Amino acid sequence: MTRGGPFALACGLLLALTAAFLLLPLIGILTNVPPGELIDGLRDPSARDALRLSLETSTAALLLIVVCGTPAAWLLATRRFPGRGLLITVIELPLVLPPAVAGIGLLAALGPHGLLGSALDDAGLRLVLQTAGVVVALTFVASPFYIRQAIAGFEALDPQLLAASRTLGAGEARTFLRVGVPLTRHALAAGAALAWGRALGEFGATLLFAGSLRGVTQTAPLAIYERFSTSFTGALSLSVVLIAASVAVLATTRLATRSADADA
Amino acid sequence: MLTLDLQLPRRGMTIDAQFVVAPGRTLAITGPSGSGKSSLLRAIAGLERSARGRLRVGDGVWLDSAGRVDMAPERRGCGMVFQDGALFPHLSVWRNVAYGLPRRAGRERAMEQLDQLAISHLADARPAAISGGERRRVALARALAPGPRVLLLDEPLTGLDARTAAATTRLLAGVLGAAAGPSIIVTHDFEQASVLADEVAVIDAGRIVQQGTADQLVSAPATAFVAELTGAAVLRGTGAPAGDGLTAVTLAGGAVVFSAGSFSGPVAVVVRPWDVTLEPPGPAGLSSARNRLAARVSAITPLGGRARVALALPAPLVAEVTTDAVERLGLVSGSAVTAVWKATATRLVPLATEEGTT
Repeated sequence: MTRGGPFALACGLLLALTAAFLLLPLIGILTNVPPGELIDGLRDPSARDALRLSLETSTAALLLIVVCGTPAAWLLATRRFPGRGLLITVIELPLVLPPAVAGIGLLAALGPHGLLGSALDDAGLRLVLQTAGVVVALTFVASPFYIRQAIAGFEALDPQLLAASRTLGAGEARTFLRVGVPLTRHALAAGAALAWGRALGEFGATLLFAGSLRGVTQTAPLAIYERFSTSFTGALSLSVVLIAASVAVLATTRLATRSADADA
Repeated sequence: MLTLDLQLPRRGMTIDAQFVVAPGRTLAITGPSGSGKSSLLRAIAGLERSARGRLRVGDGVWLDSAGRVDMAPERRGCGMVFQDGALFPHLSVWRNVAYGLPRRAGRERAMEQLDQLAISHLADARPAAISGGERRRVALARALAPGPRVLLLDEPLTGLDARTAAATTRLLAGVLGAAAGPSIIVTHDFEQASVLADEVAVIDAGRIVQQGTADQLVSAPATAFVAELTGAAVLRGTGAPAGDGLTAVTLAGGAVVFSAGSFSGPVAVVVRPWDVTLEPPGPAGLSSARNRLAARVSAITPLGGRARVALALPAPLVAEVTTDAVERLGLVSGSAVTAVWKATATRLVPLATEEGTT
């Protein structure tokens, strides 16, 4: 410590404290599960169902978010119009909404007695207590994480590049696909990772809107909660797998971003 | 033929410009930064949504606010070279050039264009890996590749070092000379404008204050602003008739200079640097030059074989002399000299008129 003053020292200590606090629960889980029980816990078909369902529903939600959210973010980032600020607030609302409120809200809107309930029923669409309902809940809760990053990414684009593309004969759609998206790929990937992580851990909205039916709507976090009341180690072993999945997502995004940087 | 009559609201002012550029000809728009020249160029390319008025190129109507025509930029076919090149950083050089081309002929046509500008060896490089001068060439190649109807260049030489700028100027002169359509170049540098363009339009605060050949602007500036832009020194003062068809102009510091013409009132005396002779201080012999002002050298800027000598007077005066003369007179910063010029070599621009036109 030749350059650092007392302030740098204090920052370093607080950083160590923060990191330790954030890591502690993970270490607790990992040290509490003997390897044998971990494997037994995963052999349980209900655990495998929950994990499979989590992966399927969170991937489906992420696809929906990316396909609808990217063009929406483009419009919000490249235009100035009345009501734009309000729209962005609406899009960010699920970030601050308690998940339980989101679940109740979805029921009130899309449930059998909800706002659009009878219309959905007429169309033969049922969401409550269905896997599709899980996807709806995850999409609702996770979309702001992606869209916020996408808007920030598109806003940081050099407008001259978009103008150059237009003068070279590319319409707005082609400019979006060939210049906008490739140059924003880091922000989009980071947003997708955050949204995916949020979807993977979603609990409250799913429970209230879609319920906790094993194999149909019981995702891994719901399964952890259910096991928690009967077997603590069962809950722990499922948690380990979720930790592994989350770390894998973070690491993949990091690696993808870094190799793309080395590319350019 | 490009015919333009355009209004473009900007913060605090409205750009209002009218001009015509014939096919194969080049118009330079020049003026200080913030005068609206780049916005005007962007409006021609269709990149300014708030542009109003009319713009026709050949048989095509690009903009007609009254007829509700405002063609999208991608349909106008402008080859635009942006100030910093605006190359796509994620695409290699040849893919940048092929961006505006149909996919099938893309690579072949792009390589041809790169070859013409002597940069085919850069084809696979990324824009970040090439020099500033090379980036300008790639940007030019990209703009030319689709065979644009109009060529638009925004400050194509700004930020280049002197040698690269000279080479790029030669290249641009060739490209502009060969262009079949109208070309428009925006630059803040009057010398660049006079070298590259057939006509120069001077823009100030959104208005074109004078348009003509570079020679016309230098020899008959419409306003003191135009005179200053062409490199001439502008001395402001008050004129009074002095007989013999001369006007005596009393400058702010009390010095009096004579100028041909008859005028009284607030006036600007335009003195071009190459009309000013420098002599050692001391009494003069018999001379036809009417103006003799004692001054001190404040700076000497070499320009190839010539040098611009800035003189500290109440108003700045600039003399352009050979570097040989600088050596013979032993001029350094701080030297005392006498600046000499003929009354007939100056031009009077009434300041009241200028207020009216700007």
